[in-house]
Amino acid sequence: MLFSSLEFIFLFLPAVCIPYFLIKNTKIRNYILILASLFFYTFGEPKAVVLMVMSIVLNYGLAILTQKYKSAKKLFLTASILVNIGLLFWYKYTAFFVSSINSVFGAGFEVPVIHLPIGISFFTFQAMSYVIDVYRGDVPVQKKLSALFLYISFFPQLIAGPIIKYHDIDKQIEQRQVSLAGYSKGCKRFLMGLFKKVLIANNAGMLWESISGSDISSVSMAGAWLGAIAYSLQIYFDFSGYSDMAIGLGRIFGFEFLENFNYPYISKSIREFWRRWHISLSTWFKEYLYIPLGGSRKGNIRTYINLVTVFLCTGIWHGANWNFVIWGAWHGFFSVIERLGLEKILKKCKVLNHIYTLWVVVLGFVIFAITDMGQLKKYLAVMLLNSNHVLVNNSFMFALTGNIVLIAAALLFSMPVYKSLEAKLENNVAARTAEGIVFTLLFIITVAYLVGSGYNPFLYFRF
Amino acid sequence: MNRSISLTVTILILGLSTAFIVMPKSDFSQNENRMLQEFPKLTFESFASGDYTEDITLYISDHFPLRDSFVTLKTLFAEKIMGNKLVNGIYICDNDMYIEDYAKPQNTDRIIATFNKFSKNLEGRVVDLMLVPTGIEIYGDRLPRFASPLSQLKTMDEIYSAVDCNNIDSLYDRLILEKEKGRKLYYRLDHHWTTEGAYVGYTAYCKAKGFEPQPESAFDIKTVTEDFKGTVYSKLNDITLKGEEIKVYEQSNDITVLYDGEESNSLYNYDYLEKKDKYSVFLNNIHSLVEITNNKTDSTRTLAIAKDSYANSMIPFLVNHYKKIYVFDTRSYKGAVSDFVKENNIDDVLILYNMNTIDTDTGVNVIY
Repeated sequence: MLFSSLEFIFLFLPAVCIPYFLIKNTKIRNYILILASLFFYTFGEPKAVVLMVMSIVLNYGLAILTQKYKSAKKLFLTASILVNIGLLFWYKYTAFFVSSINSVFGAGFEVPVIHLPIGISFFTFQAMSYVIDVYRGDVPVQKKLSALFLYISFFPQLIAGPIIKYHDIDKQIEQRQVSLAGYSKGCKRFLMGLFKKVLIANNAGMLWESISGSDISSVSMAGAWLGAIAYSLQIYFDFSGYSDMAIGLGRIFGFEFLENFNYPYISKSIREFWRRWHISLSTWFKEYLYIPLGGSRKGNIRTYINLVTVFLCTGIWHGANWNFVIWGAWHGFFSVIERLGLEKILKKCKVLNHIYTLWVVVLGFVIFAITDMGQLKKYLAVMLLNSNHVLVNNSFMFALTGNIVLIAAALLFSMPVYKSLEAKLENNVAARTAEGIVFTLLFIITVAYLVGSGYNPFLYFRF
Repeated sequence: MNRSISLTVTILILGLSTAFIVMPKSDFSQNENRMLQEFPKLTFESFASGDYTEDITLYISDHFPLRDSFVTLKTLFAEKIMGNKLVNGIYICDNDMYIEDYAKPQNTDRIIATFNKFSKNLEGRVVDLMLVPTGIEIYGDRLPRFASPLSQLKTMDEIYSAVDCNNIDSLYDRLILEKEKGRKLYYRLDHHWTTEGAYVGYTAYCKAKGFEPQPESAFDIKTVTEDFKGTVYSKLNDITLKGEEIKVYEQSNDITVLYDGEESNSLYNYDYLEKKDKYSVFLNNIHSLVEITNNKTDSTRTLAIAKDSYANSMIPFLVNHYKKIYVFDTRSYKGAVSDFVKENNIDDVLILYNMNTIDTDTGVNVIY
C-alpha cells in the first residue's frame, strides 16, 4: 500500500488515526501502531510478513544476548549482522550473484527466481542499527519486544525509509508528545510530500518513460537530456516526497524523524550532494561502515579506499544490478577527486560548480535508471556524443512544450524558495490564507490524479 | 494556519471515506464501457498470492465517490494548467479537435503470418484485405505543433507487401482526397470513422471488385443523433465537450438479418441512440456472426467478412451487391472463418481492420 493511494489516505489512515487520538495511553497507542503496521505490511506482502516478524524477534534476542554475555558480545553482534546481511543477500542479490558468476566464468548455474519483499533493504538496516547501537553501549538494550517491534515495523518508514537509527528514536517510542499542533504540522508535511509524488514525480516519470521508451535511434541529443533531467526530477520528487510523507506521518503520531533530503540539487559539489541526498542512508553508512573502517583517520590512501567502499555499497544497496555498482563508483570517483583538490577549485567557480555537480548527478541518474547495459550505452552516446546526429527534433519540442509548466514547477521546488517564503510570511495573514486555499485545491487535484489513474475506458465494445 | 489546512483536509478525507462506505455501488461504468471491480472474495490462495489486496485496490478506485467528476477535473487540470497536449492518449488539437494517439505496433509479423495462413487455407479464392488508417493518419495536419506520432502507413505497407491477399490499398489516397474536400471522415470524440468515411471505404472496395458503387444521392441521409460522445470523450471525460452527429445512409430494401440467430429486418438498432454507446446503432453492436440476406437482389454472390467494428458502418453499403453476407467478429466467433468459407462455398472474402485494432485484437489470430 503506497502512501499516495486512495486506500491509504481514505481508509487506512482514518482507521488508524481515530482510535489513536481517542486513546491517550502511550502503551495502547503503540499497540495500535504495531497492529496498523502489521496490517500495512501484510496488505502489500502477505507472505513476507512472517519474515519481517522473525527478523524482529531474532534481532531482539541477539541484542539481549550481547548484554547478558558481555564477553561474547562480538559473537552475537556478528551473528545479527550475518543474519541481516544474509537475509538481504538471499532475497535481493542471489539472482544477480548467480548470473554474474555465470557471465564471468561462463558457468551455467540456473538463476533462481526469488521475490524481493518490499522494504527488506530498510528493515534489515534498521535492525542492524539497533543491535550495533546496543553493542556499542550507546543505548540501553530494549527489553520490550513491542518497543523494538514498533521501531522496526513502524509503517511510515517501513517500506521506503527514511532509515531511522535506533539511537535517534529510542526515547520517543515510550515517551512522546502527541498534540493538535503536531498533527497539523504533520498533515501539512504529508500533503507536501503527496503533492511532490503525485503531481510532480509521477508526471516527470511519464515524460522520462515517453523518451526512454521510444526508439533510441529517433531521440535527439536535446531529447535525451530532457529525458535525463525528467528522470532526475522524478527520482528526487518521488523519494523526497515519500520521505516528506513519512516524516509528516511520524509527526502526526508524535515522532520526530530526522530530515532525509535537504535540496540536493543546489549542491556545489558531489560531496555536498551526498550531505543533502538520502541523508539517512549516507549517515547510516558513515556511522556503521565508514567510521568502523577507519574513516579518514588512517591516512589518505585508506581514506580513499574507505570512501570508494562506501560508495560501492551505497550503489549496490539501491538494486541488484551492475548499473547500480557503476553509479556508486561514478559518485565515488568524483568524491575522491574532489578530496584530491577539485573541491578547492570548485569553490572559486561560482556558477560552474553548480553546472559541474548537476552534470555528474544527472548523468549518474541515467546510469541509475537504465539497467540494460546495451541500452545504457546507446542512451549515453546520444547524450554525450550526439550519436544520432540530431540536436533537436519535433518529438523533443513536443515533449518540452507540453511539459514546460511541470519542469518549471519542479525546478522551482528543487530550490528552497518556498521554504524561505514560508518563513518570511509566517505572520502574514493574507499569505497564509492563500496557502491554505492552495493546499486544499492541490489536495483535491491530487485526489483527481489518483482517481484518474484507475480510470480505464475500455476502447472497444463490451462482450 | 497549519491548523486550517489540516482541518480542511481532515474533513475532506473523512467526508469522502464516509461517502465511499455509505454510498451504493454500481457494477457498470457507462463512461468506460466496462464492468467495475466487484468486492473480492477472501480465500487463502487469493490472499497469499496478493490478488485479494490488488482487487481491493481496484475496487476502491472503481467505486470512489465522485469518480467521474474527479476524472474531469484531472483532464481539465492537465490540459489547462499543466498545458499537456497529450492527455490519456488523446492529442488535444486546436479548433476543438481531438485525435487518438497511435501506439507502436507490436504484432506486425504475427499478423502477416496469420493472414498468409488464412489465404493459404483458402487456396483458389481471392482474399481482399482492407486496412483502414485511423483519424491520426488522415488528420495528421491538425495535430498540435511538433507532435510527431508514428506513421501507420509504414506498418500498412509492411503488411500489404508481405501478405498473399488482394490489397485494397487505394483507400488511403481516397480518404485523403475526400478529406481535402472538407468532409468529416472520422468522429471527433470517437475512434471510428463516420458514415461518410465508411462510404469512402465502400467505394474503394467496389473499385477493387469491379462493382459500380451506388452514388450518395441514392441514399436517404439522416442525422440520427447530435449527441454522440464516444470513446475519445470517455478517455477525457471532459464534460464541457459537446456531442456530435451520427448520420445513417438509409435505403429502402428487403433484407433479413440474423444477429447470432436472432432475426431482424434492419441493419440498425436505433435503441442504442438512447445509450452512451451510440455507434452500436450500426449492425446492432457486436455479434460473433451476423448473417444478412438480401431478399430482392438478382445477385447470387456471397461474401464473408472478418472484421472489427469499423466494418459495422460500411456493411450497410454492401448489401445491394450480394445475396448473402456473413459477418464475423473475430474476437467472439469461436470457429475458424476459413473453415466456414470452405464449407459454405463463399465467393468473396474480405478482411477489414483499422490500424489500431489490427495490432491489439487477439481475435485476428484465429481466423484460419
